[in-house]
Amino acid sequence: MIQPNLLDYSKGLLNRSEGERIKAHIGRCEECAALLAEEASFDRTLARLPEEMPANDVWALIRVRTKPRRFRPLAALEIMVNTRMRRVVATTATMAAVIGAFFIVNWPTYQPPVQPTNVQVNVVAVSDEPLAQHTDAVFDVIEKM
Amino acid sequence: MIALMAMPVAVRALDLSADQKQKLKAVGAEARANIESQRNMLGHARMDLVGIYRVYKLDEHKAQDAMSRIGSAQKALLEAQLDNQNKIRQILNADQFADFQRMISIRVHHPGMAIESPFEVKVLDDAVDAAIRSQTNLTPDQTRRVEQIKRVGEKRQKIMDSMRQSVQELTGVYSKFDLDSKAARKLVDSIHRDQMSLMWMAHRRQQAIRAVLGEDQFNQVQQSIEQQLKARPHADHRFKGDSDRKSPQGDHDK
Repeated sequence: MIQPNLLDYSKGLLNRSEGERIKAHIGRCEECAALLAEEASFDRTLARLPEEMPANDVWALIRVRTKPRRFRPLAALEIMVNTRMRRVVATTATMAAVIGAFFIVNWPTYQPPVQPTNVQVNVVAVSDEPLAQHTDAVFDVIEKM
Repeated sequence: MIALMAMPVAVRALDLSADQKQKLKAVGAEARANIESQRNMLGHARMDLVGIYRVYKLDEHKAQDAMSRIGSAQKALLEAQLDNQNKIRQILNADQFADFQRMISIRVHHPGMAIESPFEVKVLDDAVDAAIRSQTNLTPDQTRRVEQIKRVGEKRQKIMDSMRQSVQELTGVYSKFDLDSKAARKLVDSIHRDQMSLMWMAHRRQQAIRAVLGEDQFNQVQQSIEQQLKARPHADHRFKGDSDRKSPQGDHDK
């Protein structure tokens, strides 16, 4: 486990015992000594590069895409289309439309069914003798005795 | 048992003694004879008045005489009915009368009754109304007379309604064993007042008609009236004798 820690060793980030152990190893291992030199050289090269800002702010783009969105009715409706609520809403709306159309079409002429009244004209009495039917009924009952 | 089954339903229900039955039949026969006599007199007087009204020149004297006879017969009929009710109560007891009344009630349908003019009067009125409606270019006086005729028609309907109400109340009074004579008398008088009002209104109407229609126009109307009187419905035997009178309760006995 010498080579993975060479870069941290070159930057003095290891503790003392680990640093002593790698220092002792490099003194007797040419391969690790050469790798250390190459790591240090590359690190220095990176340090010399100018610090540049990316042309596109990637984080800004990410924030835009991940922040909570505003409520959009059409989008919500679109989502509902794929749910069971869609079917409930669609059925209710269809029934309301059918009932509404029925009343709109029939409103001017629609009349509730006429209920028969309790009092119906079943006897017409002549004004000259309005009790004639009653009188005849009395005679009829007496005659049939 | 066989004898009991053979007895007429009315006798079984009323449980009359032989004496009661004999008295009731005698009262019924007497009342019927009286009422049929009054009906015939009323019918003849009514036809006389129709004949008078069919002549363009109105004979007021004859018309007054016919109206007087009609009024007397109408009143006599109402009085005969009231008298008959009193006599029946003198023969039957309360329980028997309740059964008697039950048998009458199945023959009478007063809840839906309506009152209308006699057939002859209706024919005259309808024909004249049609003739008046066809008139154009009326003078101011004729227009006033037409309005008078219309008002008479409206008032006549109110009197018909009043009479119908009184008849229904009187039938209710007659349905109780304890006859309220005072109420019955009041209703009889009210009905007769309405009858007289109707007759006088019809007369005023005839007078007004002659101011609207010329004699030729009036005579043309009479032809139409003649045809309708000849085609009088067979069922209306109001003023004929008993033998050909159609019993209004006949269906109940079949």
